[in-house]
Amino acid sequence: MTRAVSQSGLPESTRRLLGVTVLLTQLPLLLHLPMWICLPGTLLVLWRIIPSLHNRLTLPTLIMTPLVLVGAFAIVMHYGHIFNRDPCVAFLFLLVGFKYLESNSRHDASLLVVLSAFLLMTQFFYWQSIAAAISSIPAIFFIGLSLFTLQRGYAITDIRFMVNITAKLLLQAIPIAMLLFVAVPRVTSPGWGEGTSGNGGATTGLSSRMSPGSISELSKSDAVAFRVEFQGRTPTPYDLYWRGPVLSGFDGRDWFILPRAKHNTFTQTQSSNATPASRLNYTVTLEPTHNPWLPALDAPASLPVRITRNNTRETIAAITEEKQLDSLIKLTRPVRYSTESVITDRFFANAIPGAEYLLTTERNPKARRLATEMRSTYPDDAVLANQILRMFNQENFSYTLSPPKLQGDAIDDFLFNSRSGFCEHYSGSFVFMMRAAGIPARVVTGYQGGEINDNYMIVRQSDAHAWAEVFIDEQWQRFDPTAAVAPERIEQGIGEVLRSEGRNAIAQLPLVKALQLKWDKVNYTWQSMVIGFDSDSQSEMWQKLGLQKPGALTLVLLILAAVLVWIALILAPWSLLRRDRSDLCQLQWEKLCRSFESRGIARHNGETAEAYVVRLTEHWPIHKNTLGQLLAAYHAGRFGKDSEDAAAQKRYAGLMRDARKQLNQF
Amino acid sequence: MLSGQQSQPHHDHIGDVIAQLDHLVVGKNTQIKLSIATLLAQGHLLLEDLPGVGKTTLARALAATLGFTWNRVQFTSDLLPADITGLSIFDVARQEFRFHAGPVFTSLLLADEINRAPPKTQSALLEAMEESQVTIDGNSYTLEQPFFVVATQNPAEQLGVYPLPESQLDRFLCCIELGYPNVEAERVLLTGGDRRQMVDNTPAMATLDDVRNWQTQTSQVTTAAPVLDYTQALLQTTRQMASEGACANGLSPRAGLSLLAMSRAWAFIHGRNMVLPDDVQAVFTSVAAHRLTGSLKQGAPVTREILNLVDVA
Repeated sequence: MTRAVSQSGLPESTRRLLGVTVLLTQLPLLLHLPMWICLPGTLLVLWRIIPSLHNRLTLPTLIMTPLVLVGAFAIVMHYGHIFNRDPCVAFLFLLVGFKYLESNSRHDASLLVVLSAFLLMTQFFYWQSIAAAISSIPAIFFIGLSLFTLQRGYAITDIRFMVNITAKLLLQAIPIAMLLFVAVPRVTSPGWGEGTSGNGGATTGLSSRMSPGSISELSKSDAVAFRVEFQGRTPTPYDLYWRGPVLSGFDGRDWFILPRAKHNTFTQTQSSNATPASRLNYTVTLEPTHNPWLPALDAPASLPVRITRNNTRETIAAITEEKQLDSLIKLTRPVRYSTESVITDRFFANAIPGAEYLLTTERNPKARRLATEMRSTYPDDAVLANQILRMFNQENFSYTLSPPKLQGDAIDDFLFNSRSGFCEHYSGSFVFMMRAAGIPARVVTGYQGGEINDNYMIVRQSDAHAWAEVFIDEQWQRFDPTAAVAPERIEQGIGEVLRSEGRNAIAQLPLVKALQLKWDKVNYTWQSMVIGFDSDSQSEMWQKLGLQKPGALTLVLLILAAVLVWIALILAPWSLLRRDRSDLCQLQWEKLCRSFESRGIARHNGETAEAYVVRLTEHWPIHKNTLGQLLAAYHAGRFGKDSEDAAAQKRYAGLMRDARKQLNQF
Repeated sequence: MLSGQQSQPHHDHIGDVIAQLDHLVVGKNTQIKLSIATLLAQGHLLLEDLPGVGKTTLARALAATLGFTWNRVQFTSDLLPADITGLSIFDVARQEFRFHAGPVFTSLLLADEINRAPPKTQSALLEAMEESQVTIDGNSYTLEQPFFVVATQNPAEQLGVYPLPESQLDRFLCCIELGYPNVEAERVLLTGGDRRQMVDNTPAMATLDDVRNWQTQTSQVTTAAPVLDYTQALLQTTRQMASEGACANGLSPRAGLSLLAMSRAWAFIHGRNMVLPDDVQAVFTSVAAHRLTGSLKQGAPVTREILNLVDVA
């Protein structure tokens, strides 16, 4: 029997429910899309669901179509193209709003719910953290509730009952979702392209260019750069210089990477002060950087190897002669690699450094003059370097996260005028002066320190640092001018500095700090267990189960079988297994109770058959006679004199079944 | 045709009895049916209520309608056992003891304010109720059946009462409360004629044989296994609630028997020859409440909760 459903409109309550659903799915994307798309996209929905407006107005196609076209045109203008991740998501966002406005039939509404579900998924293009997953739960719930409401049509239903059933259905779906997550083959690289990194937050990080102020800007970010697990001893943060881009190029103001030949084989790091004890093995889980460098402790002693769980070792980086690790893979997703380093502050160079390490340009004459003067006083390279550090330490230099903007010749202005700066100022000036004194030198950027959290270490963007490497005695030796001016930065980490400057005062409170670390732990687990569950982990799982990786058909059959078993377990009437199965009338009665329960009227515990039937009759007066017959047969078959007689019971059960069939026809 | 309609003629007859009682005791249909059910289940009735709400009228109406002889004993604190059972007196003319039967030798005994009498007197009555016989000076005198005691009891909070102990409360199959009449019934009472006169002028609607016959038929009403299951579940729940402190005692097996007997009688009154869970539910409070807590007032919420709790299978 198909119920006559009017095609000319949805009940107002259903419409509002749909509106809430659409809004909830739009919500997470508000963080990722430009404001001019978010605003109209959500207003289109809000406009209809605010009850006081009471507008049943729908836009006629004549107006709607041009509006959609204008939206599409604006998106193309904004992004420059349409067939890419970001413009597509933006367009979908708008379309869902328009679709809601014109949804008037159940068919439209179903389509809208499916679109919303898809829209909800798109937020994971931008954000795959556990917070994103948790924040999508309400939307998922409302999607389920909307679908259920549409399916019920105009049947009499109680909202509490609907909510209960939806929650139950979603809970029952969890094992199936987990099975699909684990069993369906993982896509190695996402098929939607990487998108233009836009405002996804992935751009925070070291860059190929360092200008005064760029690292202090970075230091304000609390974002995690990478996490490290050490095999064996955990070194003290003091020792940890994470080597990133090496900046040898200089244009008078900015330092930048010079293109270098890459070596894919490793020449052993040789150092005058390295001992076997200073070798260190560790595993890095790097957040997406969208840049081609892999951080490694100074100095790298092997090439990083991607950790795959089935023991295939894949080298994912090449090393330049400046010991900068250039990634061979795109770092658009978190990557996990293990590598080895020698903790040392000096290593022998493979070749005599060229003239580019002496380049100072024509600018900054005062600094150059100072360097020449000092050079004439201190002919020894090492002594000269230490004298400059002493100058930073003893003269009126200060270390600050918010240095004043430098004018004209930046290094001159810093050394002789402002005298307050962050690590990039000190390392840049130091390298400049060494070069001016005729000693090859370069700036190395990376991270310094880290925070121990339980069994791993967190390195944040705020740990970003820049130091100097000077070629003395055939070795590249590390000098950290920041340590000369602000030793606490190196000894106690950046947190001390931030605290003393009154920044992040709240974040530095012990309780907040502890919570933050706990949360990071959860995130790290999520990162490695869920996000990191790739095709390698999957094949390892199959191996552990003692199975070959199943073929497509086998897999489909396996999943189907498992899902069917689960559904059977859910549907199995446990009450019947417990009870005496021979009582046919009781079986019929329980079937009746279940069918009416699914129509929203459940029998209470202490409610007798008669009382229940009376209540049902109040809701469905047309069934009065049928229900009465059914009740009489039930009473006679279960409680009467004949209830012990199998044949009589069968007869009464038959009567009940007939009555039930009559009921079901409505 | 469904079985269960052989008792139809008797049922009609019972219907007449109840209709007449309804006419005499206005607005108390449930209580009237419970009283009749108690009689058919061969039990005794305890009325727990304030004075003046019609307890005596109900008892007299019952006696008159059923054609019972009846006696009334007003229990007081100086009432002696012999005042109920009777005694042997020396007959000087015949030079022998002659037994003078007490008020208990009747079909319906109205024991008014039973908890005003001292325990010794109470137990004399309770022995008669339980054994249907009276022993005086070594001689046993059997009471004629049916023997139906309607006792009234003042709420325990009132002064000068000897509350019935649990073991004796257990002898009363059913405990009901009349309560104040509703507005319409009260208007009828206030404007109608003298109830006592109405009762006196009432013709009997049944004979003692009828009643005995009904009692036999009541005991033959089918009690199927699911109903026994349900009853057991109820008993079990009362014991559990007693252990949790929700009521003073759980129900005894005797109380379970009483519950089933009452349920059968209730089914019989409604023209059925099988007990439904509905019947058990209908009589549960009147059978169980006074046994659970010692008084109907305190027990009723507990029984209602139990009925909501236990699944009707």
